[in-house]
Amino acid sequence: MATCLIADDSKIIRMVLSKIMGNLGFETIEAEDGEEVIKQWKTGNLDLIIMDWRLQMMDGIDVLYMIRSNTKLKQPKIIFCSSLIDKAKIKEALQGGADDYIMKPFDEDIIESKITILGLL
Amino acid sequence: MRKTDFEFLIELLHQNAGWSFSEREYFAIDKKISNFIREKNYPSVEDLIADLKSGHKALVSQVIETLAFSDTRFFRDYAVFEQFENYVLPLVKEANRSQKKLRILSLGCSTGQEVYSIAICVSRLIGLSDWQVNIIGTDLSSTAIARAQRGYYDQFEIQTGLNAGTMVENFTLDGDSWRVNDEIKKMVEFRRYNLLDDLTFNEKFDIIFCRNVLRFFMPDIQYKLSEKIHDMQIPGGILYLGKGENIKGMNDFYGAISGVSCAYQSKLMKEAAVRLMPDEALIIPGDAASESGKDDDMPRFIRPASLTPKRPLISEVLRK
Repeated sequence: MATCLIADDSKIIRMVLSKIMGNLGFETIEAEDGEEVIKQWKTGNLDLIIMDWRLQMMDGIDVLYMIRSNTKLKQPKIIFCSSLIDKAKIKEALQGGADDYIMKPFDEDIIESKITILGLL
Repeated sequence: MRKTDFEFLIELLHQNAGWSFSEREYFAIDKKISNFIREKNYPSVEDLIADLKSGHKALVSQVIETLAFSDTRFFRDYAVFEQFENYVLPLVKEANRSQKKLRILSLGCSTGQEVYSIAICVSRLIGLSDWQVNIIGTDLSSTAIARAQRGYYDQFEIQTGLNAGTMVENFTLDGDSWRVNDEIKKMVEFRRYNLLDDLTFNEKFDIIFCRNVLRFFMPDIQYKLSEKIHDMQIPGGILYLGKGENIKGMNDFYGAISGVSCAYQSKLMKEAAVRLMPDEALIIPGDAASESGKDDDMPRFIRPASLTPKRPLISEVLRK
């Protein structure tokens, strides 16, 4: 079973994403801030990270740069999930190595289609 | 909705559009009719049925359009589009390289997502700058066609099936919606078209998408439509159907392409063979060369299957 880390400072968003990803057959782990994402990534068990741009302690974009710059550790797929709806932000995330970008609000169909495109379903 | 009202609507669809719905579609039809009566301020389904029975022709058209409106999304069945972009399109491009034309038809295109997905795939194909590319989308619903022509999609529509990279490359945020960019839009055109109508196109199509459309028709109508669609294609043209669609008559006019999901290749009918010119034949590069042992990448004219039993299928080319 693939493991997905869901990082968002909103408990409701984490809960909704966990339910959707659980329905899609993923084991889910939650994180409230950027440092926790890095800690979980270092375990080498993550296949996918879905994270907000704005995270406590460390922004999502900085987390992305840190993960992508260390190729010795397992490189999970990374999807941003943010209310920042702006072409420049989306491009910045993609150029930094994100695999996709979800604009909030979202629904189950969107998540499922994104995961399918990434080849994880 | 009462059973008698549902049966009346089923018969209405059968008489006016040739569709065959069963009780399995009860909930889908019930939902669409509930939305329709709310939009049109009908007090109840019974009142709508009474108006339909009184012979209100414009209302009949509106109800049929409402029920025809199908769910759609960008790159629906993603794996099908991956094969289309990576294998089928390059082969058709190679086949047409002398005439530099690419003609694609999408039947039942709803609000345009399939057509724009096709156009995005074509736009990523290198070396088409001096080609004449025509991608035509048709649908029974004038409301759907009007939306397709506008090319605006809300945040839920744009994210369903499209990855962010493709989205930012081909769409621009305009208020709360995403507008398809002009370079994609100029490749496509949309027309309202009922498959049962006698409408002809000026040219025959290399590729036709008719996914999740024919299965709604009665078997005898499916057969006639299979023949009609076949007549719209060049010999050896490609037809895409929906996943698992089993259409009456399809085997008479098309052959499945092994290894390529949902794609079928049109057969050459005997009467058409007489007028077949080399330019109309499907070209598969390298095939004859590989048999003869010559190292030659020049395209070969391959005669269609009904005339040449050994004609290679696209799937065989892909395996090489």
